[in-house]
Amino acid sequence: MDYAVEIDDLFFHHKDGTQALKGINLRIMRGRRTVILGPNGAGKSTLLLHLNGIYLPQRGRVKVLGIEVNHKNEKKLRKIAGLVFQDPDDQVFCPTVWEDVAFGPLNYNLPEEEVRKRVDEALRAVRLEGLEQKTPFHLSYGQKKRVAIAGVLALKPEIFILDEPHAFLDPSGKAELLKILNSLNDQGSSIIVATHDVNFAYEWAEDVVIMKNGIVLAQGGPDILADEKVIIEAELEYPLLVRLFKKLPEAECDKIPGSVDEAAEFLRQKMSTN
Amino acid sequence: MRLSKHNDVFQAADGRVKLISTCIFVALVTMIYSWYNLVAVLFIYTIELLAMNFPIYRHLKRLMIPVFLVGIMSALMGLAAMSSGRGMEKGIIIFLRASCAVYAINAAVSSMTLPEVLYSMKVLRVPDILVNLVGFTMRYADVLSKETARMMTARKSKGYSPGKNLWHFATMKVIGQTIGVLFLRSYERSERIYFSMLSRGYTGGTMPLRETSRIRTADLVTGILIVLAPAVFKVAEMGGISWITLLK
Repeated sequence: MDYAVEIDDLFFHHKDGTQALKGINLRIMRGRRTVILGPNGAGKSTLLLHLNGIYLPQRGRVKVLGIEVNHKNEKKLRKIAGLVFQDPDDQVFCPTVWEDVAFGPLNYNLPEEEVRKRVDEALRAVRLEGLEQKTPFHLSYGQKKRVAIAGVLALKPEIFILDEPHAFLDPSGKAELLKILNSLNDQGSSIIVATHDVNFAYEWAEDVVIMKNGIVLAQGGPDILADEKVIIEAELEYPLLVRLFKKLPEAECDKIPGSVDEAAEFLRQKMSTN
Repeated sequence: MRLSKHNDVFQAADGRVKLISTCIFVALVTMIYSWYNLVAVLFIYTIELLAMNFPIYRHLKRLMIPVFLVGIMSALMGLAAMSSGRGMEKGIIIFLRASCAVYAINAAVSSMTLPEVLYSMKVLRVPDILVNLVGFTMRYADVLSKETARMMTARKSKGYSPGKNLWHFATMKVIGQTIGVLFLRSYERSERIYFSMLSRGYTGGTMPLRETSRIRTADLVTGILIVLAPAVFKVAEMGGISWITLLK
């Protein structure tokens, strides 16, 4: 099997003694859209920081594209797995947009021409051309988020990891982000998103991982979000589409549609046959 | 940061030249001993700035708080030197020296954007740690001020209104709490920022890529003008003017 991430028996506790991860076992497929779902404090962010080599396993083993996460490989891993943090104010710190996007490539001592090329490409991908010399802290929240994504894009990682990417974004910002993620995935990148947005997970993900209290509760396709036992145990809620079709048993739907478009098509067919 | 003005010759001058000449200016004024020479330096430097079309009035407005603080410190130092019988004069000299330094540094920095300041410092081989400190201070002053504004809005929404004088205990308590919470939040944020830097391969310092512009004659002239007044008065204090007269 071709795995992007392999985690065996991972434990981690913070300096204050909080046990954040309590024996995670997980496999994430390469080139897929994976969503890690869970309530606040489930250990999602701590897990993501392991995939980038920021946190090293205290017990257990983590492999990213077959490379073990350890002190020796951490810098290599940061180029392979790009991490976008929840709050862009934590990630965007340089005096200009251009310098912030160039920060990563410069740290890897890439030739000047290559740095310029990558920065231009990354800014084009997130549609921020023309703002190169702007001071990031004068941009809108959505624009700052796009600068943060461009900073990771410029490193050309094979895996994109995003922690709560929708936090504080308005609907157009979310739609913009979705387009970027889809285009990255279409180009073959693996995308891992940690969130507690069940609607996003249900409609967008190919694989879903549900975490709670530092362990993996369930893993599978988005249809696991229609499983009552899993939803109650994880303290989540059903996605809107699942709620709707659970309230409409007369619709005689064998498999709940995976998107609004599919649901509309299904209901249209039902109405035309009746 | 920059006080922009159309056709501002001082602003257009090269950042590296302005930084170096301002450092020389500061070094020279700290070596001038007479208060009337220091006043003359201030006066001539102001004329030079005006001649270079620098927005001097906005610049002076910005200087009010730093000069006030310099005044307090100088008064304290003057008081400490009272026993020598020349405390007053010493206090005035310290005040004028510090004011000259603040005046010149502020003029140089406010004629540049933050990236220009950082780039000039980098090119002049200022240690990475200092350049990063300046960059992060500027960057996060903005984040912290927004954080403070959010906290104050949250307090107002719960009926809080600040007292009108320094002896209002409840207001002082709230200000104290705000500062404490800001420290805690800054600490947590600094950790997250450090993680995000590590995640992009940070290991200690980076050199920003920029076109290295050549220093023009106009830049050199600006640099000479900055150091001219304190240099002339220092030479005069050392007796240089009388040597020149003797040579004739």
